[in-house]
Amino acid sequence: MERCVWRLIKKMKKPFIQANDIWKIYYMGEVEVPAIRGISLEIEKGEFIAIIGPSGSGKSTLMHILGCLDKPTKGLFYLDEEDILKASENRLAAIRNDKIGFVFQQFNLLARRSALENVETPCLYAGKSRRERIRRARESLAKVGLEEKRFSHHPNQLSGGQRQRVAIARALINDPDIIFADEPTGALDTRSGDEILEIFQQLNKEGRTLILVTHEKYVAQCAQRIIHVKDGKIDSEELIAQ
Amino acid sequence: MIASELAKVALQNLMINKLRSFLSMLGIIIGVTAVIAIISIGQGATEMIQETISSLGSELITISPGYRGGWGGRAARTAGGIFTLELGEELRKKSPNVAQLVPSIQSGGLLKYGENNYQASIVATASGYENIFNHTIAEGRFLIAEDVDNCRKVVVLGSNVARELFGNQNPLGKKITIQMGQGRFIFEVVGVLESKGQVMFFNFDNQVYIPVTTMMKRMTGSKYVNSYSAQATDSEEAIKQVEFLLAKKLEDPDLYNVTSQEEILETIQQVSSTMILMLAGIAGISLLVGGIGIMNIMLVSVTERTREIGIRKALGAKKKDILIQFLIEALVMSMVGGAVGLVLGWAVSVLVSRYGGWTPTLSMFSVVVGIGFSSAVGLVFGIYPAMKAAKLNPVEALRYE
Ligand SMILES: Nc1ncnc2c1ncn2[C@@H]1O[C@H](COP(=O)(O)OP(=O)(O)O)[C@@H](O)[C@H]1O
Ligand SMILES: [Mg+2]
Repeated sequence: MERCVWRLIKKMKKPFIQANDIWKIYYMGEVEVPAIRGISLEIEKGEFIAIIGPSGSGKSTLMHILGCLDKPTKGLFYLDEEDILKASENRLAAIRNDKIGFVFQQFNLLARRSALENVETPCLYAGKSRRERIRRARESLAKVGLEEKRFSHHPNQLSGGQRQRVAIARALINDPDIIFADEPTGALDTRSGDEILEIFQQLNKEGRTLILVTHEKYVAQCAQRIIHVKDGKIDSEELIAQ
Repeated sequence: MIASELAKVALQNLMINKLRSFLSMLGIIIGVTAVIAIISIGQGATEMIQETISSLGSELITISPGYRGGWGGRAARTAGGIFTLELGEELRKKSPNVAQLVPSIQSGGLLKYGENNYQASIVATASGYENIFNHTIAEGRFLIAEDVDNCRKVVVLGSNVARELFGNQNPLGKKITIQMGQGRFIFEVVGVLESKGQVMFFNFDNQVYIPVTTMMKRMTGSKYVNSYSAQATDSEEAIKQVEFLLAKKLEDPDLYNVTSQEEILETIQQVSSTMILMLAGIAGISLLVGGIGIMNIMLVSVTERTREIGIRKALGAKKKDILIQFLIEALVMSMVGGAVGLVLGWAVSVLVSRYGGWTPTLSMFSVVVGIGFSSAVGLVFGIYPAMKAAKLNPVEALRYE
């Protein structure tokens, strides 16, 4: 009886992300390189999760799959109740544009565009008008605390911390359901790294779902739940008492 | 809306690497310049030739001896000894659409007056020739019927000849010596023609005119003339009538040729348009080479910007967004090249036309060809690199260093 109710609830509301025994195998000529080896995991909206593990353990690969940049070789993967393995390339692009924001270790800003234009880009692919794009981009940049006078600067005129703020503003502009950050502090000094982490914590307080990939324990401590990854598998999970 | 945005981005990208963009466009620029210049110069020159030919009168018909090709042991030669004065008279009288018809014999001779002498073409003909060829008399008169009837030794000079022999003197009434072969003949100048200028390879101003009978009876003793020139009221009908009469008289159709000015015009038009097309085709090949240059630079650009493509895809760019971005870049490059080529080609044809002496024409056709071809080249050669960019896997593109 109890199990029946539980099942019913589960049927009514699937978790936002549901991954079931997903594998990612790279083929290098004859050699198979399994980067992800059977990972299952569920993420609810509003969670702040850290994925931690040594270099080469498959963290980035996992993030790319969860972020719909890549499809798993096998397994089941639902995002917002949609079967991602069956989705077309165009659909994946639309999902990334609409529901997902990325922040990378190397910032990955467009070098020849100003901060404002960089932040606008996802809005451009969403087909928004120029006015709307600029309005949202300014709002987004203000939210991450970039001074207005820097809006027209190109990435090479900004510090690492400022660049990562621009990247976060860009991830936020289409009001995504979830933000993935792959070693967002990896290229930063401790102080600006801490500032970036503060922004993430603030975002989570406002109800944003966050997945933070890192290999540093103290970075992972910001999250509510830490998933340890090793050799392409989940090693253990721990909940952090806030 | 995205397309206009992407066009702006494409333009900005081209401006970042100005020298490189220019060098990539060079092939297209040269190709379009050549196409535009060749078409415009060709049309201008053809129109000028047509105009001068038309100035001879479009209802002009020439009846000349046929050319017999060498075959089966016979030597190739021009048929001779068939056109008599009587035949000419008969053709004129029996063809209702022939208004005027004059015989002519072309020959050359040395003209002398005092110390001056001049080597001129001598045309032996009859009264009416001046009307058929639209000549205007500057001084005196042209040959008249009495000159021909009485085999008078009178001569009408072309403007060049008159100037060379007489300078500023009045030539009318003066006696000149014409030396032809072994014979020397004294002629009286009765008229001078207005200058007509060069008509293709032929200069009327270097000619002198004497009565055809004088040439035949007093100078050469020949019974035959070289050809007839006729003025028709309807050249198509006139040709039919003349050909019918000649066929009855001469039986062998190889012995004569009847051509109208219109036919000559048509032939020139055909020949020149074939030439223009051929040259434009060659110029088109350089457009093709230009296209390959654009494809090359676009492929380089796609490789260089692999990471950018990865970023854009991660942010939600669809395949078609990337495709359009790179295609627009190729298109902008080829169309800017085409526009520059259009301007340059026009400049070249204006310059050349100034030397050639015709009015330069920029036809809609060449503008369409220039712009159309260059954008087609941009599309054709831009699509492959653009597709390559669009197909990139986002994760691999992001990993690219
Ligand atoms: N495109 C690829 N081809 C082959 N092997 C790959 C590719 N991408 C990642 N790998 C391998 O998969 C493993 C996991 O990589 P990655 O997810 O980047 O690890 P992490 O981010 O935890 O450092 C590594 O052993 C890496 O060499
Ligand atoms: Mg990594």
